[in-house]
Amino acid sequence: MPRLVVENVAKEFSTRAEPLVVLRGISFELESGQNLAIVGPSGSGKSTLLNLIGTLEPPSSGRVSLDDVDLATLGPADLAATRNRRIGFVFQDHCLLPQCSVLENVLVPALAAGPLATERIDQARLLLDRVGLTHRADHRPAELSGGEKQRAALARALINGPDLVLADEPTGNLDRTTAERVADLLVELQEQDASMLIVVTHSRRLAARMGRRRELDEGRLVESDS
Amino acid sequence: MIRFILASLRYHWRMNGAVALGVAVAVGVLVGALAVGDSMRESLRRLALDRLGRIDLVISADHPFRAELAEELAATNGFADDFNQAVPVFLLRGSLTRPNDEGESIRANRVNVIGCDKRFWQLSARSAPAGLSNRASGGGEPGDYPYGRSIVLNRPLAEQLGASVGDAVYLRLARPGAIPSESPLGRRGAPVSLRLRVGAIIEPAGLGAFALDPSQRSPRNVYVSLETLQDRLDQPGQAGVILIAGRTPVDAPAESEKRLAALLRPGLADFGFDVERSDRGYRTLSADRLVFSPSAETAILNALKKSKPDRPIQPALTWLANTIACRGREIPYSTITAVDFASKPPLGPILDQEGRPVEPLADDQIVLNSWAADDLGAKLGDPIQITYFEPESLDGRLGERTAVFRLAAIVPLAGAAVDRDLLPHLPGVTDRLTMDGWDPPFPLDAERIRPKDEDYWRDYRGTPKAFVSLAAGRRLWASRFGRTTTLRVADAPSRAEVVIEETPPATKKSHGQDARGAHGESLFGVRLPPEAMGFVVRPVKRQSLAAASGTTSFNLLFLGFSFFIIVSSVLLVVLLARLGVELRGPQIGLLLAVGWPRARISRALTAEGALVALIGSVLGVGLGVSYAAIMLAGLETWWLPAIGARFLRFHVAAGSLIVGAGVGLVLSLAAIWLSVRQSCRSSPRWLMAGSAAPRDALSGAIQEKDSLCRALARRVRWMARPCALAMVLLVAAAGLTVAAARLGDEFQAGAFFGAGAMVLAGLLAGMGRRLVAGNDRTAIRPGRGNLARLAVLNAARHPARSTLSMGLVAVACFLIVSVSAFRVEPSGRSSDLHGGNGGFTLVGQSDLPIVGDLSTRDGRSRLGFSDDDNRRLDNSTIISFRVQSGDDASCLNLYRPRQPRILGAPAAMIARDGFAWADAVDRNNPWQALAGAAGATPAPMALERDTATYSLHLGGLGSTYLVDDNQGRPVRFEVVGLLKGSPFQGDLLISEGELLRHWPEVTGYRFFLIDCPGDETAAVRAALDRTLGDYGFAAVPMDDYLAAYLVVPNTYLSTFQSLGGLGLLLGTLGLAVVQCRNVLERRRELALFRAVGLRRWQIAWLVLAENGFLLFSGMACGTLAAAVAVLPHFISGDASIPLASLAGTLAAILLIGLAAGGLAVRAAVAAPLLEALREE
Repeated sequence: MPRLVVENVAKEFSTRAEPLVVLRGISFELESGQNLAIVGPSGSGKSTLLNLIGTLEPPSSGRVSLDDVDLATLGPADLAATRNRRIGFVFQDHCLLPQCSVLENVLVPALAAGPLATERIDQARLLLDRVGLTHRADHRPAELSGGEKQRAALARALINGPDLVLADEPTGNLDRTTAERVADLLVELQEQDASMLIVVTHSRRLAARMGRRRELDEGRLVESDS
Repeated sequence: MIRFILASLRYHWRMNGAVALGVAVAVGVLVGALAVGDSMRESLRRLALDRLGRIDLVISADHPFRAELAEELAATNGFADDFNQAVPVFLLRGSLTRPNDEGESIRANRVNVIGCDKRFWQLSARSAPAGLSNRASGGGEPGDYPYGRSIVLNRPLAEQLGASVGDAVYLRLARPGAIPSESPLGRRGAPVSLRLRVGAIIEPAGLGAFALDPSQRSPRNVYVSLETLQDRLDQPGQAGVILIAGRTPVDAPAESEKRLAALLRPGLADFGFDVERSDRGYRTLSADRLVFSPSAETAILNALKKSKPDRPIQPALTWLANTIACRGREIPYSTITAVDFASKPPLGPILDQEGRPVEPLADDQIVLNSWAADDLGAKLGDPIQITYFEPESLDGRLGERTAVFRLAAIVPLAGAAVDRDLLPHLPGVTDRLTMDGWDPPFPLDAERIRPKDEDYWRDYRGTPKAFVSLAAGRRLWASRFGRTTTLRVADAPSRAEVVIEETPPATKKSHGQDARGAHGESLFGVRLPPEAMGFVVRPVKRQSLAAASGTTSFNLLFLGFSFFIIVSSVLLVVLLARLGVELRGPQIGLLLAVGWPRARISRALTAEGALVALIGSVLGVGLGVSYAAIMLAGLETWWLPAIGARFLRFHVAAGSLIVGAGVGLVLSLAAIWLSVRQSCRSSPRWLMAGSAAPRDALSGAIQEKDSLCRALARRVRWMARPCALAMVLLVAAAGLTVAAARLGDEFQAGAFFGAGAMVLAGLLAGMGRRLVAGNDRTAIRPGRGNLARLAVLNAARHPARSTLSMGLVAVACFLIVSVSAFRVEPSGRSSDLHGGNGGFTLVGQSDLPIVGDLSTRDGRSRLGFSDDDNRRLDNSTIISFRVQSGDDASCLNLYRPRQPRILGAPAAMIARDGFAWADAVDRNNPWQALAGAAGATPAPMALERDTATYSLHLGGLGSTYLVDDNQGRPVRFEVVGLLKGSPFQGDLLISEGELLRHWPEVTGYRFFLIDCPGDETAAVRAALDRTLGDYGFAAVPMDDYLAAYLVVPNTYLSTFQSLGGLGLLLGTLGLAVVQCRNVLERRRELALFRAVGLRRWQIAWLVLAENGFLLFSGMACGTLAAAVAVLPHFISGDASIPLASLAGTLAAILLIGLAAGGLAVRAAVAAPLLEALREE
């Protein structure tokens, strides 16, 4: 069973003055089917923590392991493969390729594996169906609404059947109703796939949808009171 | 507003700097190209002025004249008004040899021999040539050289000979002014040889490089004492040329040559005439060339008749009768005169033995004097057989003929029948006291001379023993050299004329008052026109300065070379300006959103752009000067064969700077204005969304509004679709190609290149259209190639930007590929009758005319070939051409030719056929067209196509060209054939007959084509060199001869290609800029790829594939368009496309382009991932 372990992770950035410590002593675990919301004010280090977990940057100290594999020990190719096959990203502003159709955008992570099998197309269409964008498959991102773009981004995050989905403010740019819909979909898909989900948000409403909630306070992860 | 513009200018200094640099490149190339043209023209001008010194005009004649004539001319009233000095010299062509220590001779042919004294150096515009005043170089007083046997060499000649001061050298010259060697009475044989010593060596500058015929190459000059030359050439006190110095260093005033001609008063001796006064009341005028040239005779007769229309004049033609025979008896070596007897004194009558005037003779009648009649025992009515030499020999062989006359009268040796002056002066004959002492130029059988002949010679000298009618004599003995040997002119009864005759020589008379030649010898005070007697006044400085403008406009030439760089740099400016404006899209959008009118924003941005362009232009002027300096350095080093000599000096005219900067500025401003205008038309929303997301229109359509094609489309509706534009351009190109086939060569090349350029534009427009259309295609599909398709899709996101990038590469490729096809490899061509070498293996040229037939054993024997050498030449075909000297009109000479060299093609060449013809009136037998109808006007002429096109600017077949004969009369020729790749570069080819008709004084042969078996080439060269070396003969392999010409166009092509390479550099720079900009704009997308697990190499491949797509597409467009441009050249078989090297070049272009794309790849994979994701 997939399992994410974050142990005593810290992150500091060197500045012209003294080093800036963003995260200190972060530890938690997450297992398949579980989800976690990390909340906190802007600048508290939420996104940094998500990037550390997503191997987009290394921690200054501590350990992030997925299925007992310390991600820090992996080379660039293995890290890329891990991100590609085991981790799905959903960014706040969707980050869709404007020149590609929605379907093509969903398939972008699949390109890393080389020649594209027809089954992957079917799988992408299925995912679009699951996020309710079947009718928008051939549209360009510019032709979608904000919620649709985020749902497309969600489908893209799931195309390789990741064990871990990391969502950074997935509803940050959406109105309340749309945000609700995206949040529902996020949780629903995670439960259906029994994957792990970590959502970074400052939305208390979204955080409330998650099974577990933690708050970043001065770089430390504490139990959220909400 | 101004503060806003200035602030914006400062803030965006990087992008503005890039645009300014682009403008600087455009302006720089324009200014540089014009400056190179200026430098070339000015350098040629300075070179011409330097070599002529203070010499403005030259008086020359086709025969030597008194050197004193120069002093007499300088002493005339009015001379000092325009001129400063008149210096007599000999200007001859010869060869110089130096025996080296190994006993071999080093020979330099085509040496300019300047017979002068120290007055010559006073004509220099600078101080005495370096080396001349250096006493260590050979002793003597500065400026004294040349003197005695001490000569001066200029350095190029000294280096060729390996000569040092003190070395002995041998100079070989033809003897000037003698009776034509093709007359049986003219001298043939080896030239005059002078043993001389090198007294000084001077640098080839100023008069050290003196030459009348302008050429950028340093002449090889030897300066010999005038006195020594006069002595050795048997021309005491004579000169061949008078050099006239002007009063100022600049050219003499216009029309000065006419004023000088009016001051010129040559005497009869200067014309080579001699006048003998008879006590019978007439004078006999004769020429030292034995016969009067037809023009001289006509001029003399006209002048005499004009002065006194009723003056009796009796022309006569006296010839040598080898034998006069009758009744089995014969008289050897007599003179016979053709004359129409006058009926009245003093020129007649001739009385017979009965004292009756002899009636005019019929053509078959002859009169003998009593001595001859007695000797022969001839009676009236007897047939008299005359054996004589043919009056001219074309092959060096003296032909003897016989004519039979009927004896009509016998005249006593008295009265008008006794006139020894009827035989003109014949050196070696008339100057000998006895016939036994004769040293005639013809073969003489001394055994035949009897004592009675000696007696006659003692008593009567050359008095003719027989007379025939003038018509009969001319039919037998007239030649191209003339038809009259003496003119007997009756003394005028006028007292005034006698007075004039007795007037002592005067040198200070007012203009036009000279009634006699300054020499004191004249014919009844009649002024003979010097120009008709072979005197020519040439404004050499003016002609040289005019020639310095070149055969083509150097400005246009180098603008043409730089054209594609200019196009590339303008495209680069467009590209950079667009990027700059796109970069500011959000700001423009914001200004629009807050209510700034579009026009105001457009004005502000355009004004800022204008400032940028202005700065760029100023930079560009400096860059242009550097560019020109580099080009000039290139022309004097890498591309030296194109100009042949190092003579360039930097020069730029203010006009060129202004024009170059102005045109560059206007082009750049247009590019900037267009970019600004398009951006300001976009919606504020798009603009504020930033250039990273230019396509977020809900319609999904691409922002074609930004495309260049769209901008044009607004102006011309029907051209709205790039596809339509492409089609129009391609159809126009096809039309131009068809039309080009009907145009002349000069326009044809331009038309084909124009068609190629249109194809290029059409293909690029089509590619632009494809990019626009391809934007909606699916990139990600099952199977392989998804990243490549995604790359193409990326390229289609900015169709205009991508099209411009492709265009930059395409233009460079177009240039490089098309130019490659025109390169001609000089070596390795086999002997081919209908090829460029015409089946000949050697080309020979001699300095001195060779009178003889090299094609036959007998002819070679007469020229002195040994039996062994003669046998060696048995298997060779040698075709000899007559040569009328003229300017080098080939590509080797940058000066504009005034009158090209003319070759007379002999019948053997016309019959042989051969060489490759670009076009001819009669394609089946082009040479026959040269033979044409004898005497036709205009006369048929053939020449090398490139000479016709680029040097003489002739239109092609049927065009006519005027040259002057030696009397300055125009002769019109019509082009009947155009050769290609032949050894006749720079020459006009006419038939030998036509050449002799218009230039009868040309004797012998100086240009030779030799076909010999390949394995005998060296032996044949050696054999020819051994015997003909004294004539300055040298034979070179045909391939080497042709290669010397091919190296020029090939070097120009290299220049063109090098500049194309510079254009390619700009292209790849533009491509790299675009790619870096794309990567910058898309760095978030690229980061996303990394975030979702694409490997770095996959991202690198994505970026590189896009770069490769643009690069390859550009190369394909350029290559395809180039193929259209060179297609006719290829079809005609002229092209020898170096496929291997071309493929190598294209591969290099691809690699360089991909390497430039590597910058973008590096930027893509090295960008910090998180910052990119956050768009920081």
